[in-house]
Parts: sequence; C-alpha cells; structure tokens
Amino acid sequence: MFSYNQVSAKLSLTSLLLVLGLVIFVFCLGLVLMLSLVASPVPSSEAAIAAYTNLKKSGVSNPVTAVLLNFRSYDTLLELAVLFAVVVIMLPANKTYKIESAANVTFSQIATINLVRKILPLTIVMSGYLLWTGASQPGGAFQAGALLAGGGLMALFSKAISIRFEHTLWRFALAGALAAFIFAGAATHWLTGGFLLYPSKQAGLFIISIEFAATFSISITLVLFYWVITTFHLTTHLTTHLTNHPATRQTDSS
Amino acid sequence: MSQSFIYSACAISLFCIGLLGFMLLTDVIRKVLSINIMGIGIFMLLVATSALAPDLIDPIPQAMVLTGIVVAAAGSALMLQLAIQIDQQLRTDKVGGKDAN
Repeated sequence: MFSYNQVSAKLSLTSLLLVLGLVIFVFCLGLVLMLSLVASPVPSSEAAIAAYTNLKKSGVSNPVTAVLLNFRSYDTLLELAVLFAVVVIMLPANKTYKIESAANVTFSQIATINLVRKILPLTIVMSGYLLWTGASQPGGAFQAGALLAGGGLMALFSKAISIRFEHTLWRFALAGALAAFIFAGAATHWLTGGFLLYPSKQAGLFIISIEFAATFSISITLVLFYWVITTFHLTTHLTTHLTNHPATRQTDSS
Repeated sequence: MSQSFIYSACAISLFCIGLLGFMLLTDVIRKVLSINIMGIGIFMLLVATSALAPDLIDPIPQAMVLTGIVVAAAGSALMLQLAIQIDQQLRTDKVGGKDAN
C-alpha cells in the first residue's frame, strides 16, 4: 500500500548524489543546532516568575494547569478550535461500520467484550481522577481525554459499544469544549469586563467546568479521528469486494 | 554536561532523523510517521529546556507541549485521511478508468 518502490529502486547517479547531499545537509543542520544549544545563554525566566507569583490568584495550584487555562487560555481556546476544524473535515468521511448481528459473534469476541466491560469502567474512573487531580498535581483535561479516548476506541474495536457520530447528541459533545470555552469567555466579559479574565474567587470553578467539557470533547474527537481512519478502509474494501462480487452485481441490476 | 543538555541533544537528533525520513522515504505512511517524529523531537526539546532547577519547572513550555501533542494527533489523523484519499485515487486509476465503487 502507498508504495512507489519501483520508482525509487532505479537509483541513478544524480538521485544518489541528491540523497547524499540531503544526508550531509541534515547532519550539518543537526551540528549547528547542537552548537546553538551549547552557545545559547540561559533562557529568560521572566514569564515563569510571573506565572509563579500570580499562581495564588489563578484558582488552581498546579502551575501548568494555571498557564493552560488561566494565563494563556487564548492558546487553549484556539487549540480546541483547531481540533474542531479537523472534526468538521473528518466527520463527512465517517461511514458507520456495520456491526455484525449477535448470531455471528464468535466465542473469542464474547471474551473480548467481557474483558472490555471490566476495563472500561476502570478507564472512566481513572480519567475522572486525572481530571480532578489536574488542579494540584500533573494531570488535567488533555491527559484525562486521551485516556478516555483509549478506552472508547478499545470498546469500539471489540464491538462492545457503537457510536453514531452523525447524531445530534454526539455532535453537541464534539463541539462541547469550544462552546463551553466561548460561553466562559462571554460570562467573564459580563462579570469582569475582560475576555477570559476570570473573577478571582470563581476562577477555580471556571477552570474545572471548562476542563470537564474539554475532557469529553477531546476524548470523543480522538475516538472519531482514529475510528474514521481505521474503518474507512474496512468499509471501502468491503464495498469494492461486494460490488465486484457476481452475486451482488446480479441483485443490483435486477 | 547537564541532564537537560543530554535530553536536548537527543531531541535534536530525533528532529534530524524525522527530517531525513520525511525527505527520503517515498511511502505516504512513512512520511506521516517522520513528521510525527520531528514533532516529538520539538516537544522533547521544549520539555528539556523547561527545567529551571532540579525541583522547579517553567510551566509555559510544558503547557505548550500539552496542547501541541493534541494538535499533532489531530494533524496526523488529517494526514492519514489524506493518505487514504490518495490511495483511493491510485486504486481507481489502476483499474483503468473504470470506477472501483
């Protein structure tokens, strides 16, 4: 698949020289970067000092979460917008993969489904813990969302659950983080007069509500991406196989 | 030769390996993997330089890496989707003008 080896097998002298030149270029680039690493002075830590001195006002005690969702929340808002843009591109490619009827489920599939039913609740509990602990320790919405996405994909691939992403409820879930962020921005504008400038007493509440919505959205987004990529090929292979099959071709024409 | 320097040097090597792979490999999947390796090198460099003292970290690069990883995952999903489209196009071309679907 995706292989053009016949072309690259015929290495002429010019292309060999080109490859050699590229290797030398990248080697020199690496050397220059290493030298710049040695020569560079200690990076200024003004921003870090500012983050640490204002940490008490941020509403959380973990400096990374404070930067992510308070001091530089614009970055996170735009990052969720990027994720949503990719969702908009990927969603039309989603063809709901037909799940076989219960009569066709083999013994090994029953075993996998039972295993997933034991592991999936643990994943959900663990991601909830990661979300909650993000306020004071390493953790937060991104880690919790990634863990939940792993659990969701495991359940989808074992056919324990099925998600129809094109349904309105799932679309709301996919857009949830961006919507919550913009809503929080509007609310803070009304309360304090600055976009995403939290009132100091309710900052923790704002951060945890945005993180809660972001966890769900990020996990469902990641599940959608990798589900679409893996099943797109399965469905297209299946349909090409079926349309080329003589039996189905006959039923199509009749 | 501090610990952070070793990590930074490894990050630069990873970036160079990814760049070389991206330019030399012809498979689309391998190109996508190479771009991911380049990205991981940059994240590693950011994390390595965020160590101010043994017990003190600069939270800003760490937050950037955290958002960057999710964007990189979304980007590679998009690239793989495009790779699938390229494969579909090639497959229909190989049939000889006949639509495979």
